[in-house]
Amino acid sequence: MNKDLIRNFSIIAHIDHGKSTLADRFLELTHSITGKMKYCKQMLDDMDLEQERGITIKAHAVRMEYQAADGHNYLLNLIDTPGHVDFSYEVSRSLVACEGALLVVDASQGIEAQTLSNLYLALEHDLTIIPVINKIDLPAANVPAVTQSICDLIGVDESEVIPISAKMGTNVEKVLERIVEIVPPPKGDKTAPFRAMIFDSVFDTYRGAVPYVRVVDGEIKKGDWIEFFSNDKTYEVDEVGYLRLKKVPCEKLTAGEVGYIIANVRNVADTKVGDTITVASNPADTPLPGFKDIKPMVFSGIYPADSDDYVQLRDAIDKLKLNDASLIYTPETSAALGFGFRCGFLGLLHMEIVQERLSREYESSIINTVPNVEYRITYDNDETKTIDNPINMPPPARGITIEEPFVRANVISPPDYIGNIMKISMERRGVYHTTEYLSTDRVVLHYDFPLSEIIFDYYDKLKSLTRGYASLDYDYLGYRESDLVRLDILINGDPVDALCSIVHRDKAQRHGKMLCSKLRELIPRQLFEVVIQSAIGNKVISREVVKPIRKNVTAKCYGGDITRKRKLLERQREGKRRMKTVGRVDIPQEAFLAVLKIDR
Amino acid sequence: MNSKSQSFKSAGIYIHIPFCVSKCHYCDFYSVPKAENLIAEFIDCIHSEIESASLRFAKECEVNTIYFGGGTPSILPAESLVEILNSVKSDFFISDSTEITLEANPESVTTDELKLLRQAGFNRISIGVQSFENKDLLFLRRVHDSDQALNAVKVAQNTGFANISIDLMFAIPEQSIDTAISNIEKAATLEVKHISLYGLTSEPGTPLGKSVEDGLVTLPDGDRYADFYLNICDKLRSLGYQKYEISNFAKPGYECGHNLNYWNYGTYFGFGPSGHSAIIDCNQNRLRVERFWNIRDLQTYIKCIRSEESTVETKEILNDKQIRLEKLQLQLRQQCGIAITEIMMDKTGSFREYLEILAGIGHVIITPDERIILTDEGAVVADELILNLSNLIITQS
Ligand SMILES: Nc1nc2c(ncn2[C@@H]2O[C@H](COP(=O)(O)OP(=O)(O)O)[C@@H](O)[C@H]2O)c(=O)[nH]1
Ligand code: SF4
Repeated sequence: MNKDLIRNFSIIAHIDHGKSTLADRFLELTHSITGKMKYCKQMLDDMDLEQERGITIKAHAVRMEYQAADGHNYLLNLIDTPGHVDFSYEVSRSLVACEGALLVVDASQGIEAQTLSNLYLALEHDLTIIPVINKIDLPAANVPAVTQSICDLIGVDESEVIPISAKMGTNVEKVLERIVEIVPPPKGDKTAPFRAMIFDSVFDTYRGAVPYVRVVDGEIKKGDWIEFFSNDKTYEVDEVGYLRLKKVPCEKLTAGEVGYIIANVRNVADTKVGDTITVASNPADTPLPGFKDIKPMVFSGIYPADSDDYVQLRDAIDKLKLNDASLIYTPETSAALGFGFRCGFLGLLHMEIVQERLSREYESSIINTVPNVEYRITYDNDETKTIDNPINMPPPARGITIEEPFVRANVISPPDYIGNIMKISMERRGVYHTTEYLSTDRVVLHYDFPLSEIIFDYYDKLKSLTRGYASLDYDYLGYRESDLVRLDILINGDPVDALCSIVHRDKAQRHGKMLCSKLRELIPRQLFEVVIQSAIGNKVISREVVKPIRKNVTAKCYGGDITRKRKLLERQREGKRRMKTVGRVDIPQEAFLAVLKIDR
Repeated sequence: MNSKSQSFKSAGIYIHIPFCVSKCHYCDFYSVPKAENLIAEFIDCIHSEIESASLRFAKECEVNTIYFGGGTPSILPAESLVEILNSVKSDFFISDSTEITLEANPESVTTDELKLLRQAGFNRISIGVQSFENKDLLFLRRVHDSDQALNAVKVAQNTGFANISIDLMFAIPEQSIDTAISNIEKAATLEVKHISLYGLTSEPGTPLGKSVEDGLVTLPDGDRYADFYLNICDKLRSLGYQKYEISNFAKPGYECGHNLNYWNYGTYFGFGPSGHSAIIDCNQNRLRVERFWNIRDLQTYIKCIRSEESTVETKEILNDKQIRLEKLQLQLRQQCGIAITEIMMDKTGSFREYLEILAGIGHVIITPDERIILTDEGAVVADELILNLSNLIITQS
């Protein structure tokens, strides 16, 4: 394939701004889809969950052939980008695989935070940006204002912004022409040793982990032995090909092309996004730049609601892991919840997706403990350790430094809500930096936050305080020291490991109080008095009591209908089995999530 | 001992008369409005059912109790009740001491009829008084008033019923504890021998249940319910009524034999729509418990009898675990309680520990001969106790 006729690009857009619709139009224009396939919406998001939530969480790619006005036949590779902050590293790898990016902005909405950070990523990697305003057919479209803010943002001339309607097809062809015209063809050396960057990988039950790659130098074909730079493992190539909604085998992939490599790689952990693949017989000296081994940022315990179902849960997690290299998990035991797993996630959304997939796969309920970040503890003697479960946090003592991860966050919103945003950000220990105006009706506020403060419900709060207008995006900054304490919850004197949390000292009092009163609501009255306490070390900071039950008796005997009473008892026993027992106290599942629902 | 006498067992017979004058507010028993033609058909069918059951079971049973319940049995003409009783008598072995109870509602009790019934062999009457207070009766949508209630007890006495039981209700909205107590005092003055005391309960599907759901009616809360119950138990004891089950109190020797048979794992047959039966055998110390019950619909019941199909809706044979659960439920509700050995093999361990705690908070008493007995306080939380204990006995085995 002639490199000069290849164009690799991606689309940067906020959720619902029309990325999928536009992609569908491209596929139609380039005759990449035919017949009834044409009618299934959102070709690029092929996982159920993604469609339901309207988010793209895994990058995919599609190859199109396009005959341009200049008479040449071009090969266009559209590489999709995951649509959420948790996956920003993956986004950056998808962008690096391209030479150009479409910046798609909804004419009635304007630029959102996530679009902005992805745009910054694209600019950082010198991608050619093609600004596009979508949904110009909408009555609420404000094309001049949105055009202006785009021009201000990336310093282009108004004439360079293409107004389109992906829905109606208006000007879509113009976008393709512009891609051909201004996106540079891929660089790279066809004759150099083979190097390709992995921007995604999927698991195929029959063929193993299949990396999706952008070939930078050289070429690859069936029978070659490939080698991964990050782990030196080698595999024989079984098939190469490109993606057009499904895998299409081809003879070889050469510099500049985008496609997949099947080499019977067992484990998705071996096909790490960002890693470089070379050929064992003629290896490249250096990998492509930018590889990072990404680490989970958010941790939570996952337990079967019914302790007997541990094995089924384990099988379900194992299965999920096959397709999700970024999910980390280890077995863990809780005195309150029994056997389960401590799981690490890239972020909150990733956690929610895993939990949701898991409960589908496993077909029965799971208990998720309150998510936490990973803390770093340094002792006087410079010994350090990291803690991914609050229960392992040592009690307050001198000579211990505790650090927690911080992020740099951008909040974009209409200026009217600045006050509200500042208020909740302060409550979440946000450190304010600057405010910039993107246009007269959009500002971006820059903050540093402890990650722990925004993984709970910060985003939901932000949305509700700005009537849905604000958007949020963040980048990892690193560890910083904080005055943190472990807040224990004791039930009739016994600490409940699964209810333990780490909070800032200034918030501990209030948090402990609210948690106790929430638990008092959730724990049903029992035969004995139940005392709920919150404590830091030996110091009890709040106390609530669930009074013992006074009445629970069937007055009437149903004559000879003994069965009815027994069935009732059997049902109640079933309900009780779903509760967890600490000491002699039955605790319903919801109680373990109570910590989440507390207004921080 | 020969094998024949070994399988010869005592049994109870229950006859469900599924008619009522009108439906009480709280009731979820099976009953329909009375209608002459239906009543005639029903009586016919009951005779066939009794007859065909006797062909299968009469040989091996001695019937110790017969109970006409409902519904409102006293709605039927006395002659019909006598006819039904006679067919039981002629088809099954009955002794002179057989307890024969009629459930009656105050509004449908007349001297003539009770006389006839007494002569025919009915020797116990259970009257659905519920309260001697008109306000309570109104709330419950009972047909009778307080005078009729008093009168009914007197009529029964005058017609020769020595063994009289009444049903009373407590924890009715707006009822005071004093009213509940004075109801008991009236019963004692009338010298009734047996009192069944039920706390008003809202059952789903009843008009009361709906009103409670919709927030139109609020039942007394748990604390108040407990106050009612504890006061009532004290009062009854002081008047010489012994508690022998959570809701049942009697002068010594006047316990209801029919109910005791249910609770103590005796065999019984229930005739009529929604009638429940149990056939219990004990072979080398192993219980075999079979339960079956009739369809809960008069029309279908009649249709089945007419076409000689079975009237049984469901039948179950209990496994060991179910038997243990039932025993725990049935025996713990009784004042004799349950022997610890009945529900567990190992007398130490967590079960024992738990019992001690329950004893510590005054819910149970552990007797020197190792029986668990509920206190009055324990009785008010009996279901909760049973649930907790059942978890221990089942998880232990
Ligand atoms: N009116 C109008 N609606 C559009 C246009 N493009 C997309 N939409 C609608 O906007 C919604 C989101 O589009 P979609 O392509 O799924 O957005 P994505 O989340 O960025 O992939 C869908 O309901 C589309 O039908 C357009 O040009 N005009
Ligand atoms: S009389 Fe008895 S069976 Fe009939 S409706 Fe009233 S409570 Fe129910």
